[in-house]
Amino acid sequence: MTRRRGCGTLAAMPKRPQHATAAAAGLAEVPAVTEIAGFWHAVPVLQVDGLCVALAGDDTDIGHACADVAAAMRSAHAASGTVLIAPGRAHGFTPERRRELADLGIAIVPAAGGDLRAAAQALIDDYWRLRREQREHLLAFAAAARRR
Amino acid sequence: MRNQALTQHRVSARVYELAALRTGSVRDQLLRSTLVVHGLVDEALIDGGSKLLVFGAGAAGVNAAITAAELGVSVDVIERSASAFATFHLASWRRVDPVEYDWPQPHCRAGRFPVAAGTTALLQRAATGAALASAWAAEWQWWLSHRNGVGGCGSVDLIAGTDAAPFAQGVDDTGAGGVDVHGPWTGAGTSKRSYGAVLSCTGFGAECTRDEHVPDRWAGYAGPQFWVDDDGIAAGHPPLGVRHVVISGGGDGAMQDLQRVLAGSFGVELLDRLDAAAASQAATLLGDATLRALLLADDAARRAHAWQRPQQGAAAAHADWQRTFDAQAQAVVTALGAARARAIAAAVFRPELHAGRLAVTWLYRDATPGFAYPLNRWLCALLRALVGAVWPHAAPLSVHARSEVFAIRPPPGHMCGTPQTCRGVPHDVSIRHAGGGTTHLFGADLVVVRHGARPQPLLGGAPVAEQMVPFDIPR
Repeated sequence: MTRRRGCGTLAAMPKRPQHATAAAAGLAEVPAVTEIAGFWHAVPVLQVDGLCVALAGDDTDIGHACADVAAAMRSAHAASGTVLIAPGRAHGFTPERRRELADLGIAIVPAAGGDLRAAAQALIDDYWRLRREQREHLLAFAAAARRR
Repeated sequence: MRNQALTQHRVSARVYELAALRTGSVRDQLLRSTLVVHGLVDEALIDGGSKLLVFGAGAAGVNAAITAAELGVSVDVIERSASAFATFHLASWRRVDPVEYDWPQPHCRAGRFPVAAGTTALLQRAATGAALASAWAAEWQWWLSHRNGVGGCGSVDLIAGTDAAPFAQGVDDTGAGGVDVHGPWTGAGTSKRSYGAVLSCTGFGAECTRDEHVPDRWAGYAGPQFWVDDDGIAAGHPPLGVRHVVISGGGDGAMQDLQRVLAGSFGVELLDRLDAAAASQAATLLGDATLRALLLADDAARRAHAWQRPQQGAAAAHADWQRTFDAQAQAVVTALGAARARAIAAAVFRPELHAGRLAVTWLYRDATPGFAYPLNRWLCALLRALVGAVWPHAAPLSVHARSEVFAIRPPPGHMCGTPQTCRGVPHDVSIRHAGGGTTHLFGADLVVVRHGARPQPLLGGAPVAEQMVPFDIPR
């Protein structure tokens, strides 16, 4: 097989996944969500494969929520964590502290509406959809690389 | 033809730098890192026996690592943070959209890059940075557990929590078939590892949001960062809480923020709102003739700038680009008539603008706005034309070409610090015009500076000023 050179190599890639389907991707259609009370401060934390979401209500200390989501991430071996805060509520962190949290994979996300649980569910649904698409995409990517 | 990304990002024969980009486009980073890795493989600089060293486990770095590994190349990745995609985790509200640049092509509304499957290892979808980071990070973790070194894949060794700088200083392209990298590999003392090539993908998060050269003139003022600060001008019409906004810059970032300040949304969302408002007035904003004129001007300008090698007539094409967009927008608004223009403006602009509680000043350095994508260019031209139609005598938007913020003075007793401490505090802003003269603005309580990314090349390399244009992107 002749090796294609330069930019033209990408042209050989398929425009759509040829074989990878949602089933082949090995991820469930709907994520399994569990809820725990945070280890340090009992902040509610929703856990799904790869992501932990702490719900920081109006009365919750956001620093406490960060500690709880970090502990949950370690326990669940999750790559990312999110602290969901009520809309319009300032998180109050310095840029340096936010950077430290981001370095741990923790994002501070303002909820779109006042119902934090509904916002968390929407966030998890989006995460799972993107993750499933990324899985399918990686499988297609690997198959294309093999054909190269 | 040699891979042009390889040429553009070359520091030496086996050392490549992506962080010299002056733009922050995620799509640009992913495409460039893919192209560089493919180029390295095609030129046989890396293969099953010659490893690749990648600095940085952000979007570009992880994308490069997976791409190389899937092509059978083993990779070491050095990352400062404990986790990948740290900068993306900061962007909890900033939406990334890989296809808005492609407007008016039909796939613009799909939120997905049309050749994404198999093109870049990381998925390109419209979502907030943090949402993408969570999905990417989970799948990167999955890839490391399931694909790493399996079935013809190269192996990836992630060295997290490690500063790349000491290793970057120890990069030595021997010119004899490899790169030696001296650094604290084992934690104690300096040792050497050899690679087929080295690629730096660090430092994309730094932006020019203040006067870097003469900070005293700006009194330490720091505008909100495009990527990380929720500056309160996000979509959804939240009250701005400020009365006078100054936006400095002529590129996509400034244009997006002009849209957000005037209308509370930007990009495709704003386009849809404008279309809906026009439809309610039995009008169309973008007829076939208008679209054809925009496409022709856009096409000419982008071809003239492909791969940042301006062709003959590039300056004229660039000027014609903006002139055409402005003229078409003006013609559309004129055709609407005053009553319908007012109705559309009422539906789209922020209420504060109509109530006379908001003034906006937009300035940029050159005679025309810079190298921005057609959607941003069209929306800004349209908004400007609408402002002109609705407020013919005392417009709440003033635009200054060939101008720059010269000085910012805080009120007595106020110390500029972070974007949060300065927001809502009336600063005096001096604007200097290239043709001579200065304009003083009093009481600007939000100054948004969008002067691009501040390149922080770890390994060297010439700055790369502009994003890849469609003609550079392989189909």
